[in-house]
Amino acid sequence: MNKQWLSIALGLVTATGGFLDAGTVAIILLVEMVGRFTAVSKKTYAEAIREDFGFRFYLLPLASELIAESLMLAAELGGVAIALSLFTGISWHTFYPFVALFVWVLVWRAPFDLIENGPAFLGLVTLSFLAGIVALGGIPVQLFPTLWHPTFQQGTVTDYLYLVAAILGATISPYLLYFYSSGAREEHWSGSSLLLNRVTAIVGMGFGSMGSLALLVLGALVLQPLNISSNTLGELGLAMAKPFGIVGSLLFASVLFVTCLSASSCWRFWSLSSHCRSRSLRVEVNMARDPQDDARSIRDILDSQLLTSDMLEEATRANSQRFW
Amino acid sequence: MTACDVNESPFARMAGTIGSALAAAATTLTYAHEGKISDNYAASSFMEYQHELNGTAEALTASSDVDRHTLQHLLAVYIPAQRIVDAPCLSSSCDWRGQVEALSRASEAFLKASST
Repeated sequence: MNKQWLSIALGLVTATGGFLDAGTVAIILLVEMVGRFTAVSKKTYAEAIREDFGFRFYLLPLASELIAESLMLAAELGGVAIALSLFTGISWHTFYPFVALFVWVLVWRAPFDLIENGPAFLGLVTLSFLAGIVALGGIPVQLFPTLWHPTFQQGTVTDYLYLVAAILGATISPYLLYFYSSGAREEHWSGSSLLLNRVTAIVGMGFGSMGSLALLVLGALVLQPLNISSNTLGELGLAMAKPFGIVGSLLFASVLFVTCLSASSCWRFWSLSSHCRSRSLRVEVNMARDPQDDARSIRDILDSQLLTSDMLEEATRANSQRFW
Repeated sequence: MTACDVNESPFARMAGTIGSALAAAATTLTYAHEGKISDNYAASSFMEYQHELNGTAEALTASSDVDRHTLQHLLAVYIPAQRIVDAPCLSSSCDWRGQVEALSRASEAFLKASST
């Protein structure tokens, strides 16, 4: 009986995973949980881990995420540089340091609303992938069975598993949870925001997944018959060039630019004292004249993941002496 | 899917990668001349293909799991293709169709070698 349930469950997971991408389902659930937690407890994700498990324990996920996300940041900056290269024809190596500098300036000087809403608005360009599929005549019927019964070429199982791991790793990014949680705090979410949280998690993450799936389908429609396996980003843009010509390839470069820029900006938020947190807390510091509030606010600013526990203790002590 | 063939041989993997890169180069060149992508886009893409194919001839020569006859055939079609990738004809004044043909021929040879 248990075995039967297991096989049914596995069948469902396979079908759902193929249809919507298992990573997306996972990130929807995680984002919804983190948003709900923050709305109800009024604590950010990072804050809760540190307070409930202690700063020493907190160093473990902090260190591992810092390493993983740093590697991802390098790739995201590279994505922005490659997008600029596709626009200009100049090597992306030339753009890379300027992109890094630009992202740094953007994070420290641009208002939070711009960084939060700008990429979200510009990200609508990914809808062009769907338009591309429609322009090519829609999804062919023979593509659907591959959702629940993928076919492998001989000897490519490890490649396929690597791809699965890469997709899951790229979709379920820890920084996203920190960023979302900070945003919920920033917007002063409460128990009445739970519906908004659920809709944001499902629609927002679902939209991102739809863009990824649309690009995969475009690749299957255009590139696979040409024996192109998309080892470089420029090759992927050829899938958009077929239905829309130059405009299509430049739309692809635009999507690459916007998504990589927004991802690298969000990472910086998380890693360098999460600007969204400090912004709201700066407001709190300015407004709160109650010494207890000030102490809490300054402690929260020191929530920055780059500060050590010694610095935290020292700052809290200094703050206590000043006000009490 | 067979449980025995989990991994491709290094040569099959390399041949598949080269074949795919050359197919992409041929399509890029065609699209550039058909006005489907800009010259800048094509130039940037070719820089990536150059990077991807860098050192391939040496790796092919050093490959041990391929017979000499196949290797000589692959090198014979690869070397002119690599020259095209290094200096693609993006203007209408040169024989871009000939370049596309050479790239496609080399791509097919490598893809065939990767699947045997």
